[in-house]
Amino acid sequence: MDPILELRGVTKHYEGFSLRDVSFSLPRGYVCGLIGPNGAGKTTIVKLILGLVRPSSGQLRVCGEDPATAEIAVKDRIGFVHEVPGFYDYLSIDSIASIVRPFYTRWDQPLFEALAREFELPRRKWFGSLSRGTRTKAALALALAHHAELLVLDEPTSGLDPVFRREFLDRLAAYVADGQASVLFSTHITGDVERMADYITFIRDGRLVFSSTREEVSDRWVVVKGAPGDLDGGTRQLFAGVEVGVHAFTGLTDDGPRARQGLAGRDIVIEPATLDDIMYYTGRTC
Amino acid sequence: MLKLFIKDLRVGAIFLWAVVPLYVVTALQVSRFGAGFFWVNVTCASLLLVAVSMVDWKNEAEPFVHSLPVTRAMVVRGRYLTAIAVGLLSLAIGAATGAARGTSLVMQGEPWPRWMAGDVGLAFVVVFAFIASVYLPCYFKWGFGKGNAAAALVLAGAIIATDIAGAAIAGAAGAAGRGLAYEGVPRGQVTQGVARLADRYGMASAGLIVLGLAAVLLCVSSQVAARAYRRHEF
Repeated sequence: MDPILELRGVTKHYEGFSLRDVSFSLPRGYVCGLIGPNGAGKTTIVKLILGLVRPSSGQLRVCGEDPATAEIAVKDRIGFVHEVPGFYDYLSIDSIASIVRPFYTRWDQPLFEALAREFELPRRKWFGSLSRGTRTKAALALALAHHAELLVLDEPTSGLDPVFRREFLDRLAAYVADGQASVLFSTHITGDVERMADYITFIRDGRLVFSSTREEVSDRWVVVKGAPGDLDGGTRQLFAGVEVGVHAFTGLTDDGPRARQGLAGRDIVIEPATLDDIMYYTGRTC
Repeated sequence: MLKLFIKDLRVGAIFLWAVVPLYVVTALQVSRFGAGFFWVNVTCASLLLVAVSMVDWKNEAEPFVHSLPVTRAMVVRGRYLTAIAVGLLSLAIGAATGAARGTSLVMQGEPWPRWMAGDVGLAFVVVFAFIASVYLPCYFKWGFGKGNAAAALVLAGAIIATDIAGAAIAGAAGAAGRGLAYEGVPRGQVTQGVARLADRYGMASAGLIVLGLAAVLLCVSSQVAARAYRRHEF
């Protein structure tokens, strides 16, 4: 498959935090949810894709090109929606659109106007006076109006009400439906990812835990529950994370059969893991 | 680059409406004192330049700007183009205000003011080009807050140094005892220097020399700023 986004061994060092050796790819026409706890490195990945920061090592390819050498061509094909869209607060949506328009070779004014109508955007009001949801809608309209091949969304739904979140996700689903455009959205709201992502990339403490299709994730990752007495140094090794309570332990693993084998003869329950389970239990050792 | 320049003008327009009337009123107020008029023009031009940068900073718009199909070098060059436009606009406002004041003085029977002359305009070009050449690399290197502080320190140092040592270097002994410490404005070494240049080589040649100097300053400065900004991370 033709990847629209590809990271190979990407590392980025900051003082006190490093994103290490991250590799994953996103085929054209799919949605990838980039999940992880706060501070995991999701925004760093988004910034790397947009060229806001440079990788310390590794390779990035966006729309088949290296963003470091083909910055303009790559950005012309990317649409970006930030968690808190930062435009000029005292300008109207129409003014912002008229500023943005000349930068893009494929800006489609009728499409922008159609999106503005669809999202019921108050086009003449100051951007700073708009509600959080309306700002996000405006940012999405601006991102879609130049026929972006890759939409990069950084925590776009956090702080939005459920009705708007659903509308927003439906709009994204419609956008990728023709198989030409792709979406990468970072979030810690796992419900959004479970609802619409084809691929899931999980980052924790700056490291890639996995990047797989949603089906693979739900097939492979399981939660194992049993009595605390069943855990010892050997059986703990079966889990990517484990939490031990007074009456039971809960362990997370991507290899259910191996866990079952390791705990053979003990009274355990194996359940499919939700993304919340995966985020919560990964790395836990208590 | 042109698109970024137009973007700067459009998002900065609101500050032009706010600063320009203040600019004109202040310039008229101090126009009885030539050095004061000159420095008000320089200060207002610098304020306009800082205001354009402040717009991006205040609105946290840098990630937005850099998500557009532009390179960092283009962002830097666009801002230098804006600085040139701000300088020309300020020169035009200063000339219009000065001409209005000069005409009113002549109508009152006074001579045409010395500070409303071509060589003072050229001195403005030199000083504003120097300010932009210091300010913009600081802004692109350290951002709005730290960049402003760094540029202010460098420029204040330069003003004080020329005010203290300038008289000796330029041989303007007649100006001794006047200047920043006495009248609140620098002694005017640059205006005197450009006036001597115009006397010696003629106004047209002095104009070419000054414009050449300003162009070299801005070109070198833009290279420094682009180099600093290339490493900047958001």
